[in-house]
Amino acid sequence: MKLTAKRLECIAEKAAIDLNKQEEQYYLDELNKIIDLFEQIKEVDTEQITPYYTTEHEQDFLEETYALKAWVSEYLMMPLSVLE
Amino acid sequence: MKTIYEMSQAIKSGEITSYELTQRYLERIKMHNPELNAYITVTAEAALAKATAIDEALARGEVLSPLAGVPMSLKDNICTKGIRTTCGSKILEAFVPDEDATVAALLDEAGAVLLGKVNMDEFGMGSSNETSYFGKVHNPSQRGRIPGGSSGGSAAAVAAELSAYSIGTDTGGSIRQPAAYCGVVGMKPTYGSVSRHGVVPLAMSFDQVGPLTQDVRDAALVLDVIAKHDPKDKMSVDKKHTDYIKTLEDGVKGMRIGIPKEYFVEGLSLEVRHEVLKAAQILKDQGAIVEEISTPHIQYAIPTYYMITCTEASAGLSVLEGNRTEGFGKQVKKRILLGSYVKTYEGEYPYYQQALKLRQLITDELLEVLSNYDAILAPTTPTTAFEMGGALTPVEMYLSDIYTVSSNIAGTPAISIPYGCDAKGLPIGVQLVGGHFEEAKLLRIARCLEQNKNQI
Repeated sequence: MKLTAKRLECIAEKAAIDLNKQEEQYYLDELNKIIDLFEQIKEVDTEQITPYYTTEHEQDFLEETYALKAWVSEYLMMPLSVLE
Repeated sequence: MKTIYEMSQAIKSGEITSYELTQRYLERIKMHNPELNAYITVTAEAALAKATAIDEALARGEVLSPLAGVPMSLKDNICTKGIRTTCGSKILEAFVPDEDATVAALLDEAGAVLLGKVNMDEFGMGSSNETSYFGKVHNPSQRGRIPGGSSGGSAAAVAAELSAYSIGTDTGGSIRQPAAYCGVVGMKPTYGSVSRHGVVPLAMSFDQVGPLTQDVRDAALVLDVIAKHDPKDKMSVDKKHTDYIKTLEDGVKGMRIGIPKEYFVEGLSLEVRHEVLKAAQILKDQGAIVEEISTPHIQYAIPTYYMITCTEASAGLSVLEGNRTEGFGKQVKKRILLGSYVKTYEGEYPYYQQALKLRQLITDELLEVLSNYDAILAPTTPTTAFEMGGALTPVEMYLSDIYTVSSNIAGTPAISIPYGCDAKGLPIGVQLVGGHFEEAKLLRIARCLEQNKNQI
């Protein structure tokens, strides 16, 4: 999905960053190049994969640090308990 | 006398005092920093006072750590009490923490002499050290070339002997990539093994703190001090102390080393490829079993990494107040906007959930390989250090991290060691990746490679 000028304006406002017209064009070009790279990940079939941390509320993921902790617990602490 | 080990021996034997050693480093900083720009802040007075205190402690017969009296530097995203911590950003230009980061406190307790805070890409966002508000850092091997990033100030300071060692942070290769470009050792420990308390985050589920040193033994000495459980870091893992020195010289006989075939693709320079294959041959000659392996999902590591880290970084930096339009540089704004984009349109285009699943897939694949092999041998970077202001696209710049990000995705430890140079005399790095908390094994393999690199 290409980022449009209107959507850029919207996300910049949410991020509390003011952009002038020249900057808008610069970030549109730069971000769209990266978004093209992101498109690659859509091609992988991940239907059977469950990530160890997930989010239900798209607006506040990442604030949920407990979820990250669960991921660490699964991957780092469990093997450790075996070692000890 | 370049290594921590040598300096520690010299200080303890009375061959040199910590004060004299610190003075030498401060003179070198005065002479070379104006052109390299490795340091943002030099703490000369405090460094000499600390060195004097160490000399006095030795005179009293106190038993001190191998790091005691040895001059070092910290990346400027590691908080230091009473010393400004800028993260290479205008928005934190005048930020003076009132507490030391745990890693800074541990080093201080071990007697380390802090020479100052070193330059970095703004908030760790960059692979070339060209995005710091405090100016670009030059590669000591060749002025006008990048030192790598984001711990470029650390790598340049160690390579130019402006610091015996340095502490950096690694979110996607930010210790190992600059270490490779500057010709020093750089180690990213297992996620959760070194406290990030007091370290300004870039992406909290990836960030790790680690050493940049002159050789592998020095990396082991520093790790021994900083790898401690810290309840202040929610991700810190409480585990038994590992002796990283004890097995360092035990060699690699019987060890199994894998080389992913997917790493030898277009974009990997012939000279880097040659050094990796040379390292593989040396390991074989030393008794290791070296085999080709496959990690097919590694091709998705870069987009997965950037998708998740930009989103985490955007969330992390949302707490910073002040004039964000003027306070942040272009690279930081780009990543904040990218993270904001992902969050805003996740409902419509669920890239983030897909990236989390891919993270799982890549992690499972890597851990499966590492359950059958002691380590993975790989290039650290596809090429040697490129010229500053080069015409690299953002995507090409990101691809310079292609061999390093998978360790951050999976939380595994990895180390880059210098291995030869290209035709221009620029350093090449080779990388070893190990299983969780297998740092001792990685250091042992790296030490074997380091000591036998001239055997072919």
